[in-house]
Amino acid sequence: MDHNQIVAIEFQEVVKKFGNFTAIHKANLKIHDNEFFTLLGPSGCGKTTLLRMVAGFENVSEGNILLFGQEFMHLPPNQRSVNTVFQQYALFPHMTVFENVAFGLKMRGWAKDDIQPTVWKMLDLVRLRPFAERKPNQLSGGQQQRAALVRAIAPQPKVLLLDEPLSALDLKLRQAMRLELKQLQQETGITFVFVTHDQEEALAMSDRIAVMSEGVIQQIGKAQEIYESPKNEIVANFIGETNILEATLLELNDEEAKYQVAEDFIISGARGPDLVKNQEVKILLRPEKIKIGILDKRVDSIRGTIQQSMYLGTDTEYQIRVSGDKTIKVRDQNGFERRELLPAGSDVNLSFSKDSIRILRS
Amino acid sequence: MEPVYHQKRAFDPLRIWLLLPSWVVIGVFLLVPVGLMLLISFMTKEFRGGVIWEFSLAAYDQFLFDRGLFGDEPPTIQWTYIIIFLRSIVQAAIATTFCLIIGFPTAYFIATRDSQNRTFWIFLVTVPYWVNLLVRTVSLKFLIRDNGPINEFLLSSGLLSEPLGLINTNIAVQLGLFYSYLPFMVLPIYASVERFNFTYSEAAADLYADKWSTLRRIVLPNVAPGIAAGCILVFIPSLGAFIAPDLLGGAKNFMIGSLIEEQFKGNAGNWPFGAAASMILLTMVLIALMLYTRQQAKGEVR
Repeated sequence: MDHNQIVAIEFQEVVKKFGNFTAIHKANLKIHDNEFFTLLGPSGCGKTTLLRMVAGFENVSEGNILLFGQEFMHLPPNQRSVNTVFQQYALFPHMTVFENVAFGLKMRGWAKDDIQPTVWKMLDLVRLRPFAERKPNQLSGGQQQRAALVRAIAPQPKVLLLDEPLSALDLKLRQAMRLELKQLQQETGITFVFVTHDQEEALAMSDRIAVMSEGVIQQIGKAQEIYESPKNEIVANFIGETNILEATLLELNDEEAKYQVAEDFIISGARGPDLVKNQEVKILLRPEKIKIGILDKRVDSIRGTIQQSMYLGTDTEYQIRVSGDKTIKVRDQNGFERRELLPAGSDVNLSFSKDSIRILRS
Repeated sequence: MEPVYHQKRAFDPLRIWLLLPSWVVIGVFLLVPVGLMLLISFMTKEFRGGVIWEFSLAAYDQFLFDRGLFGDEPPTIQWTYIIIFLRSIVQAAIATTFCLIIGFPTAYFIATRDSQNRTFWIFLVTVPYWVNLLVRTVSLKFLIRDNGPINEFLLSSGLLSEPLGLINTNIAVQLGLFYSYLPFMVLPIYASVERFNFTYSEAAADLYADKWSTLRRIVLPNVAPGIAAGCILVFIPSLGAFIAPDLLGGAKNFMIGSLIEEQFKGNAGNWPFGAAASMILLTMVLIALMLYTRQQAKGEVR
């Protein structure tokens, strides 16, 4: 990470307790200026709580949060220059779209002559000019979403907080809005802090992602880092699919190591960090990193038997039994080479590059 | 298959039987009495109460015009009853305002408690209403009269040298009305605040609105129907109230309810006149309600 970057929001040892329940355990996090940052995790993991503490709807129990290096935890929500896009939009039902977008500007004490052009500019930004005089309940879901977005952007906040803003939309719209959100972030240059439980959304839009689980920030990094080198099983399991194989370190040299998964199932790959012989490890292997081929006894690779195959359009998913009770999931892309679906019961070869496995200590 | 929702249902005797009780109740307890009042208001009075079944406009004439002691002078406008009428409207309006000022914060407070506590607070609001209105009003009279506990306390503690003199004043009447009808203000406002989505308040605060602006620009417009319902529910019974004015107001602070009540009490009454006053009151209330509903409908179209 570039250390000269300006930090927009800094969480310092933040703890949040609701009664006896600890929602956030000592969160440390720096979100950079002009960044599209995503808090990703299953529901109830504390990601929305983090957001609400920045917005001012929840207090921190311990620790501190800084906004551009400044104390702001003592300020009420209406004095913090951060704005929120709420999960259910929370557009004021008795106001028109125009009035909704103008509200923040009006409350900030802008002159009427300045409000008008800004609101129109905002509405143009998301193509809502023709709908300015409509009430929120006369808009489609996507239009409401865009209205909520520009309502929050209009007062030019230092940071925009987005609380699962796409979760109420259907798939097609959600995908279209991803692009739009990303564009909007780049155009406005505002720091976006985006909360979602949808890993695809997170991977697609974010500059960096923090994966959260049970109130703990598990890993912070770029999409690729998080996907390719998850720090632990929780992250690996949450982002994408993964095969987790328990193994013992059989032998190692300076370059690589051999791991025994079962008696006749040995994987060789990169040596994990600080490992010793006979250590118990977990091997993470993404299903799409495995190449599947029709059994060729001359090739030295792992052998398996297809138990089940599922055709999914862009790819085919196989459950493959290797060595006794171990089952591995493999994703085979239906790409350039046209392939026949391999039927259950077929014996196959499995191969993968040594770089694609990841070793975790048990 | 075509949907059958809009199909007109065939005659179904069960439906008639099930609806019958409500028809009977509405008919017997609403239409018949009002119809009877309307009828009586156009009849001739019988001096010891009751009516002679002879058509006459005398009751309405008496309400509006003064024709002298023997009824043979040229008619002039009879201000007495109009003033009573106007006073009633003012009294009811003041009582409604007080109910709103006290009722709104109360309702808002209750609606923002957690759900277990809400039931408790609502219970507290309604408890006094398990006691008969007359008994409650009499108790209030005992409380505020010159040698009642409030004045006794203020006098003995040296805070006042003379009793407050509340009894038999407009203020006493307003106090009585306020006390009688406060829950009618609290409950509908409570219901609408409870339905209000407080994410809107959060959104307003997020968009730099202070507490006052949030209340005025976001909360109030969204709970307005509850406030309107509360005002109607307090204003209308206050307008026709007679227990509070009778017991707390004395002769000077006569209200339309007491005027009507007197016409039907004992032997001194004038049934057609009482009925006519009732019909005039009813008409005024209906006009006000119609204007209100029309306003509401317009608001929804917008």
